[in-house]
Amino acid sequence: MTHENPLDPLELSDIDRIIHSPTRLKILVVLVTVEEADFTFIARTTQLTRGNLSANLKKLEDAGYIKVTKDFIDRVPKTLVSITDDGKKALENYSSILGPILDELRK
Amino acid sequence: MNDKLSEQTKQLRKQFARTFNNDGLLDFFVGWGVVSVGLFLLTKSMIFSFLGWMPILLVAPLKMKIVIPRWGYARFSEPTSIPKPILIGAGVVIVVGALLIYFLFDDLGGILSPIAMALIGLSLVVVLTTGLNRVAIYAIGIPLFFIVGLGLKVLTPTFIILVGAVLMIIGLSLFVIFLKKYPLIKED
Repeated sequence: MTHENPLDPLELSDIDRIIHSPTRLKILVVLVTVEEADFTFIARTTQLTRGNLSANLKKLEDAGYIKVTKDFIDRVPKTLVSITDDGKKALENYSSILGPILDELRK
Repeated sequence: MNDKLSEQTKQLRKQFARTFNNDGLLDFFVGWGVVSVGLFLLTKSMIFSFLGWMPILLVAPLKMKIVIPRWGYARFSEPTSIPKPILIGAGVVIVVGALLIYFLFDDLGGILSPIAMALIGLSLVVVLTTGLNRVAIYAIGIPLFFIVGLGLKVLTPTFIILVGAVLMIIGLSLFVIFLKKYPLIKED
C-alpha cells in the first residue's frame, strides 16, 4: 500500500475497525507471537477480564482473523486460539496504514 | 511481517517464557538435588543419591497441574532460548575450562573457592534475569560448581547443603509469589 500523504484524513477510512480496538489489537499482538495459546494465557498476557476477552475473541473469530478450537491438554479441555493468515494480513495492513501516519506526526 | 515487528515479537516471547519459568519449581528441585549431594557426602548413605535426582522428574507433571492452569498454555513457533549448538558449545568450553583448572591449578586450593561461589551466583543471576532456558543454565552451572569446587577440594558437605538450601528457598519463594500472582481463572 502506497501513501501519497499519510495525513490525508481519507487514509483513515481504510483502517480496519475490528483491529483498531485496543482490546482486539492486544489479543492479536499476543497471538502473532505464538502458534496457538489457550484462553488463560491470552487473559494473563493481555490482562483482560474473562467476559471482555470472550466477547472480543468472538468478534475476531467472526471476522476470520482467529481460529478457536477445543482440545484436550493432559486430559483437561482447553480453548485453543490461533491467528489465521487473514488475521496476519489484516494486522500487517493496519500497521502499514497507521505506521506512516504516526511517523508523519512525530516529525 | 516486517523486521521491527519480528524483533518485538521475539521480545514478547522472551517475556512470556520468563514468567512461565519463574514458578520456582525447577529451582526448588535443583536445590534439593544439591542438598542431597551434600547429605550423601556427609552420611555416605546411597539413599541420597536416589532422593537427589528423582524429584526432578516431578517438575514436568507439576508444571502441567499447577503452572499451566494458572499462567496458561502457549505453543511457540520458535524456541525462546538460545540455539542448542551455542549452549552445547558453551557447556563444553566451561566443563573443559573447569577440568583444566582442576588439573593445572590443583595446588591453589582455597584461593579459587570464591570462583565456585561466583559461578553459581552468576548462573543464578542469569537464570533469574533473562528469558534463557533455565534447564540449560542449571545443566551447565551445577556441574561446573561441583567440578570446580570438589576438584579443588574446597567444597565441604555443609557448604554444599547450604547452597542447595538457598536454591530451595529461592524456588519456594518464587513458587509462593507465582501462586499469589496467578490464581486460577475459569474459561467462559
